[in-house]
Amino acid sequence: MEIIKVESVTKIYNTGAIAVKALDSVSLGINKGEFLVIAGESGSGKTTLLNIIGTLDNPNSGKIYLENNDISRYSKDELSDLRLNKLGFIFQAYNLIPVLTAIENIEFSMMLLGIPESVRRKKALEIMNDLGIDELANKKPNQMSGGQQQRVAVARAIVNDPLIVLADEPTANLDSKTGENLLDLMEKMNKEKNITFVFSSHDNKVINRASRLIMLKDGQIINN
Amino acid sequence: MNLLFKIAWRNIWRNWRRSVLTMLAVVFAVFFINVMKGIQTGTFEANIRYTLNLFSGHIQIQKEGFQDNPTLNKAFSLDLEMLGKLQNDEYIRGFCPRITSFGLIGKNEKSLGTAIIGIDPTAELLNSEFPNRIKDGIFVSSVDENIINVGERMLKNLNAKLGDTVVILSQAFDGTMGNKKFVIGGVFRFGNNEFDGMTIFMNIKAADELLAMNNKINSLAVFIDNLDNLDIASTNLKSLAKSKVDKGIVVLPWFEVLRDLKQTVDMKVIGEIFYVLILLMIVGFGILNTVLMSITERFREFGVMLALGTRHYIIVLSVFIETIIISLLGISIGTLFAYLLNSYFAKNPFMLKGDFTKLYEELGYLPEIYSSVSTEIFTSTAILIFSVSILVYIYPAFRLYKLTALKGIRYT
Repeated sequence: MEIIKVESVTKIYNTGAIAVKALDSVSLGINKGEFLVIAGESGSGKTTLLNIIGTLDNPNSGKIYLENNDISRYSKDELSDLRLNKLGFIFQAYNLIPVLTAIENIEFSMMLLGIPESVRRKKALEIMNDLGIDELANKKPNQMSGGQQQRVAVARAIVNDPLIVLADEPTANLDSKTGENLLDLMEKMNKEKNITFVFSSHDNKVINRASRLIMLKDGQIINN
Repeated sequence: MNLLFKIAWRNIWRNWRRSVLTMLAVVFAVFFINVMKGIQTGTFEANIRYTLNLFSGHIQIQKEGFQDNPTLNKAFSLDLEMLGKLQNDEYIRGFCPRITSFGLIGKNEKSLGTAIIGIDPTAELLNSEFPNRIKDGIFVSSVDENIINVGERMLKNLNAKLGDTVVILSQAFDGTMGNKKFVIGGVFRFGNNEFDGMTIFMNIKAADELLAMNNKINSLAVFIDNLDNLDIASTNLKSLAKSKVDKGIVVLPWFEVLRDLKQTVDMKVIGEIFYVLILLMIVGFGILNTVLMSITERFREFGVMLALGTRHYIIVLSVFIETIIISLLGISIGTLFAYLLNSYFAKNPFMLKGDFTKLYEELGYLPEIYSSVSTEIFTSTAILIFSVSILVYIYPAFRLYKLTALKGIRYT
């Protein structure tokens, strides 16, 4: 089942006098339960594509459909709600909220959804248990290693049962063993919970695990 | 909401030095404004109380037009109904009838222009502080109507001394020239050279006779129990005076009688506004700077929060809570310290020493610095600083509102 459809998306960045075409008429569909990797060299447009799918950036032309809804014309608040309800994000630099503990970081989006504290605490603990990070519950980001922070970031991304999790180079800041462990974790979530993952990466560890690989070059898909 | 407060609270202490410094700026401003306002209010109130109790009274009942053109013929009689109501008014402590005229005072070949004020010695002793201003001799007597009091400077100008006989001439109410011999029984010093150089006080009965007033007076100085009751006492007297409309009697609160004093108070208030504005600007920019630095260095976090689906208003609200907490803590601490200091000086006025004492006395002020713990001082300052905190938050809030998730995440 196709949950996301990207239709002829073009993105041009104007850096001073020069216009750089980051995406050139890109079209693709993403199905439920995929473990999809968008790969390519630096500057190929993979992060731009991921940002556009994640509604963090707007295309200059083209359309994005999420569950058959055209989200290109959504307002700022509608996009916020969409990201809160349907999308999960994992960033290269973990990006946990520094003043919150691990469990509070995981609870954050549930708080935005208005879920009562007791319910969200229970759910956050369950997911931490599933990911084997329950001992980190009361630790703040600066008390955790990079790998631990990224695991908490994964928990935060999947806790609301999103339609799709977007991960931008999630292993780039991790050593190879920790990166493998993290990928194991995400693969497990993908298989057990049928969560759709879309990665942007040029890391072979990630590429090798892809159920589907999309190769980008100069803003165009060269291999799907 | 709980988590939002948690985020705000922890963010305050995340860079505690900066937060404490901002709080200290608020504490300092609140403390300084409250102390300055307290001293100004307390000292002014003390001086106003002192001046009003000294002689003029809190309210004056006069014949219409007497205040601007004090001529003898602007006189009125105190009827029994009016006296009864004045005596029964719960806010009125007492009242002093007075006759005011101008004339000449002469001793041997020396004569001087003088303001003649006829007073009821018993009423003055009961209500005004003026009798305490007798520096030498005795106060105007209710027994011997020939005894007068003259100002210290006038005694000098007349080359007279206590016990000397003087002649006073003045045009009377009926147009005739009145003249009478008096004995200088006492010398007063108000501190105001002009007043001390040209004023004499005599028994109101003697003044009545000299000026052929036929039991009329020019003014009635009314003393109230508490300056805070000025409005209600004035209103009561005005409604009483309304029934005397045919006689053209007016009720003037002190600030309509002592216009110079009122102007001085107003000028000080303008001065107060000036320094308060400067302090508010300092605090305002201090808070603005802190909030701007604090949000700029957290753009990345805000970007992540936006990416996770946080609405802009929640982020704006979260930082707003931080600003409010810092501001409220600063206001509370500043108010507490200012209250303690103001309370101390309200009870223990600071006595000026040396030349300052003379200077203040010559200007007609008490040589004492008081303070006040009036609730109005603390609440108005708190509201002012709190409003500034909210006002300066508008720009940072605007910047947060314009922030996009991607810009925030990419911010370095």
